[in-house]
Amino acid sequence: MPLWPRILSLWRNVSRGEQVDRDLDEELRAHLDLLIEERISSGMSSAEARRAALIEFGGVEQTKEQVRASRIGFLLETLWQDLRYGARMLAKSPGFTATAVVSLALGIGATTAVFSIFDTIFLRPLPYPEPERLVAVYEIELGKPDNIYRVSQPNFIDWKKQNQSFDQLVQTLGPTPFVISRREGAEEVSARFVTDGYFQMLGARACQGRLFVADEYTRGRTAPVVLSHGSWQRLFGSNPSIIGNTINVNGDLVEVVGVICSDFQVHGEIEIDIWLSWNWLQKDRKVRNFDVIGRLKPGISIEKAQAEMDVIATRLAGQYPEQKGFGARVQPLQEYLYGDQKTRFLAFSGAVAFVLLIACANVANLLLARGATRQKEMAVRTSLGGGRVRLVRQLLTESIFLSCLGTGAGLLLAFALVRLAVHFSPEYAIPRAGEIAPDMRILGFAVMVAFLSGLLFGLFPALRASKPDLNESLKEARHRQGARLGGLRAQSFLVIAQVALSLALLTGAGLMIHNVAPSAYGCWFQYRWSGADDDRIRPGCLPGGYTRVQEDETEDCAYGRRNRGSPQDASRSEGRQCLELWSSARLQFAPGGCRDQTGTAE
Amino acid sequence: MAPDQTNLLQGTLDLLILKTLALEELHGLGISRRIEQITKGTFQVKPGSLFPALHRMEEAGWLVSSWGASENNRRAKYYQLTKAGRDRLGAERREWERIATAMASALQSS
Repeated sequence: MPLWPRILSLWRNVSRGEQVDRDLDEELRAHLDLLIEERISSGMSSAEARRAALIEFGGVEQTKEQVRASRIGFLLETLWQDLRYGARMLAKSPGFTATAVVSLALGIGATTAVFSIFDTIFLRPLPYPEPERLVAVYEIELGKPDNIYRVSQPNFIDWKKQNQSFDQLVQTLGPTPFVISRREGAEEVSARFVTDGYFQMLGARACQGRLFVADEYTRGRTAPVVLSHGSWQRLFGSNPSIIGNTINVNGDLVEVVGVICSDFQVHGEIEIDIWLSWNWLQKDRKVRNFDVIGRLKPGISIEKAQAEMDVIATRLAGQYPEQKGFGARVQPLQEYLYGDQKTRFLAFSGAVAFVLLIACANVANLLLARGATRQKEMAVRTSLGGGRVRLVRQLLTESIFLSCLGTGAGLLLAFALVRLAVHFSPEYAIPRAGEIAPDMRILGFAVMVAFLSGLLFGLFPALRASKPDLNESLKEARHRQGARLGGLRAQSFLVIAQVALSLALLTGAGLMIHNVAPSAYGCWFQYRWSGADDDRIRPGCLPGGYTRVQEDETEDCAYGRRNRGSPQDASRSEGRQCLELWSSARLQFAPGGCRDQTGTAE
Repeated sequence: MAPDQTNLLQGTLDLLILKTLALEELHGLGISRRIEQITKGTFQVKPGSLFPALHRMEEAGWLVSSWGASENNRRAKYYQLTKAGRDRLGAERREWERIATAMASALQSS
């Protein structure tokens, strides 16, 4: 079918509807005149002829309606009518409109906010080149797949030497609290050690100076340092002359070789201030402290890489007694970094979906109550020939219109909520917080939510309101009673649903606070509650694998005694503290959690 | 509609209108009288189905309309076939013949 004439006609119908209608009027009148003339010429009197012609014609107005209904854009036209009418009706009862819009805005706003966070963390690919090929590799205890460990350096070296699956395999250590001393005073920063290939793998570029060159990963003890854009701004006032100069890091003078571009997103949850090249050798296989990430060769699947790593791990387990009972696992990097948070966020999404449901029930209830007062209007419309489908459509248009208003307000609220959530949540509780931003998918999601919720809370009241008992409704006096009885049942159902949903939501929220808060608030709770007695990786926790030799410091570290202020401060400084001990006092490596310094990974 | 008049099959009306207009341009009443005439009174097209069809076909680009004077000098809207309309007539005619043949052979067998 040719599309172009249809588009032209649509344009004509929409833009010059009145003229099109006048034209139709004239055409039909002319048709009637021709009919009358035909009769007159066959010998009828003019009155008779007119009567006969009208009978043959069979309803001028109906014909007009039929022609209108067959036009392109008819749906659009009635939609526009319904919208205008709906807007007038809503404007007439501002109290109802405000209540409904606010309920919806809360429901849709919360849902959209949580979805945008969920989307950013779990659905959007990591912000690195070819993120689907990035994986994490780590050690596991055979037979206990939940016991996962970081990797020791000798193992990493063996993996790197023996594998055929990876383009690159790098080890990294951190974040670790370091201290930069300047004339103005000392500043705590978080540092990450990286090996050759790390920056390249994640597509990092230097915007000032350069990144590390190959021999800086093998040289002696005074490795150079690369600053993050943030720390360069914060600590050195974006001074370009810092490049090539030395700064005091943990008491050592190290050269600043470059500043990383501000668009680089660190991998993991914690912002990094400085990068150092890793150029030591930690020979102990029991010290499983390194994160290993790799880039699969093109065409190599996770399963293939896993199969190869299984072979390598078995071989190593045979060679070294420390490796007995240990295997290796390959996992997509995104899943590794954020996978364990998924349940938490899913639960959260469930909770806000409940809020949305409650909002819908609330609005449906409001609409029902309104439907009862509009019973008479519906009765009049039906008796004037309004079909049920048409009435339902009009009522649905109204409710979807209402939900669109709610969505608009909800979207604004969602942006505000996301910002608030990122701003006020404990540090690191929301990974990739910096990347969370509105995009088309979220808009699409909101529109979908609006439409569905409009249908959901509008359909039932619409179906009810559009089936008035004509006789009863038109008789004002008796109408009240009838409407109240029918409406009452539906309304109490909705109230029951609302109370039930709210109760479920409250219970769920209570449970969630109990479960989520510890991990959201980080190590502090976890160490206190779960008794960290090994160096297994805990979600949301800083690697707490370093202990100082002195007993008293370890105590401090374990119980966070030095912490003051709010729990989130506590979690942050506690985690850092444990690491700080290592970095500030030239510690020897000793595996084990903060609390139990002798605990090894066996 | 009188009992001896046949109800128009879905889609038949379009074909009849196209066929009628293939000869010359006509106004609404002219079309309906011509259809009556060529079907020997089997089909009587009422304005209620004629005009929606005409407007729909015009929107589809098969017909164009213009105001003109009728036989006895009255203003009337005349419809004319376009190139697309002629193509459409050909297509619908072939389709109809296919169906008619199929139906005929189906009814003859048994």
